[in-house]
Amino acid sequence: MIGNVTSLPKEPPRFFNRGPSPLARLTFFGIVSFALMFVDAKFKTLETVRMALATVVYPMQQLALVPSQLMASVDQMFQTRAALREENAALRNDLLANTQAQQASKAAELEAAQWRALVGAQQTLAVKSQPSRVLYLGRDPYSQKFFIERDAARTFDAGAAVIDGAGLLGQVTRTHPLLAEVTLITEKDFAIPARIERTGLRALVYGRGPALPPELRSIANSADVLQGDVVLTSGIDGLYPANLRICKVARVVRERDSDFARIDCVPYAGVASSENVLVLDRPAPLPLRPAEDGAAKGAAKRKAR
Amino acid sequence: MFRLPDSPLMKVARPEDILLPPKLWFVLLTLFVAFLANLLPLSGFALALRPDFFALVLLYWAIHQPRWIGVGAAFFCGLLTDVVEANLFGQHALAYAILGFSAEYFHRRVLRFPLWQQSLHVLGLLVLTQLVVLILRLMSGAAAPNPAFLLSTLASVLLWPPLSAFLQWPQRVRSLTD
Repeated sequence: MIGNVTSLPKEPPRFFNRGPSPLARLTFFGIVSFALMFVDAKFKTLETVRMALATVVYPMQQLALVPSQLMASVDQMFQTRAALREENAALRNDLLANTQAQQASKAAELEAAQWRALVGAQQTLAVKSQPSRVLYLGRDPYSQKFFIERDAARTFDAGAAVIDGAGLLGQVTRTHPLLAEVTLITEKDFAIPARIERTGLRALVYGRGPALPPELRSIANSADVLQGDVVLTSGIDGLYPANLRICKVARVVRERDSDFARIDCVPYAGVASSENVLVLDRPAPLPLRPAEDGAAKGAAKRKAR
Repeated sequence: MFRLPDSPLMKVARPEDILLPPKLWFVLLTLFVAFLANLLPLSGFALALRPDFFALVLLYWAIHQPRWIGVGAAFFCGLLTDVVEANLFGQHALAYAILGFSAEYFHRRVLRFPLWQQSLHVLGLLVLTQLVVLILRLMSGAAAPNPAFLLSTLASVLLWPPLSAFLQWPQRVRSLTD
């Protein structure tokens, strides 16, 4: 089956000019790739290039969505009346339950506002929210991202919090004209200032990558944290509105050889499943940090360097 | 050991067969379709199993038509992948450029083997590509991925024989195949 060819020349004869050799080209493009990686990681100056390419690629991404949309519409056509009626009833029940809770929370909000006015504290403002839809999930197995719709009417920017019906999903990390990239709370080293609903204990929730559950870090062994505790955003950073549900404490391990408890959490939001999301604008900017504190710290840092 | 169904669509040329030259539009179209196939909105297990169509078709043309699809074309395909996957610029570009180079280096050798042995070559090249991306990602501080991501390489390798047959179909001389 293999012919009687004993040897094949590795390179074509000189008179077939094909430009630089493959190895030379590989070296060239290898250096270009490393330069691109370095520039992209350090200087963030390639965002315009990325945006231009992303806009070109966007129609193709839309095209790739067509088959699944067709499937979904066919699926919808065959949904039975009974199933719809059942869903309708369930939704109506939910609505009733929520209405009651909402009325109670309105009253509580009003009362809180009155108290704040009494003691002269700053009022919390309602946060503007904009609905959007998940276009597709990131295909990168190393990072936890997805893409949502964005257009001229929807003005959210990088930094906005993204929630679904159950809780905090993540944060908008990059915006293109027609879509926005959202990093999920399960992304490695993604930190959210949080507090525990039951005790008010402040903590930080850290994502640990796709394979591991998020955790609460730096909480003393003696702290009062129980399995099943609800973890909410604290609103301290001025980035996330306060009191969004983040996750539920799934497991608390207290070891003798460590000062800190190991606390694993399960996110409320459908990190892999949600379809419709709400993008919350950043709450009103907080007053600046007291100047002398920041300046002193900055000076100390500079001295240390 | 590994046999494709005996239909004209699934037949692959032997090394001594003469093929018609491929059309440039066909090469570009298949690359485009493979890129679209990579963009299909999958999730969960299907996503882990999804072969990297783009890399596979790129590899096919880099092996069969190295004068058109070489290191440079692979590099630009990698850049596109970096944009749609929203990660650091240049990592897929580098990985695909290495893929293009190794295809160019091995193309005379690979084509002498029957399809299933070609698949083993493809396995080696794709694992190399995955390794390059893995090293670059870990260096840039990403979490280690779910080991299931290796499944996609296996799926790609299984796809190689039917894909080769399919991509070669328009190039075969009809009078010889019948």
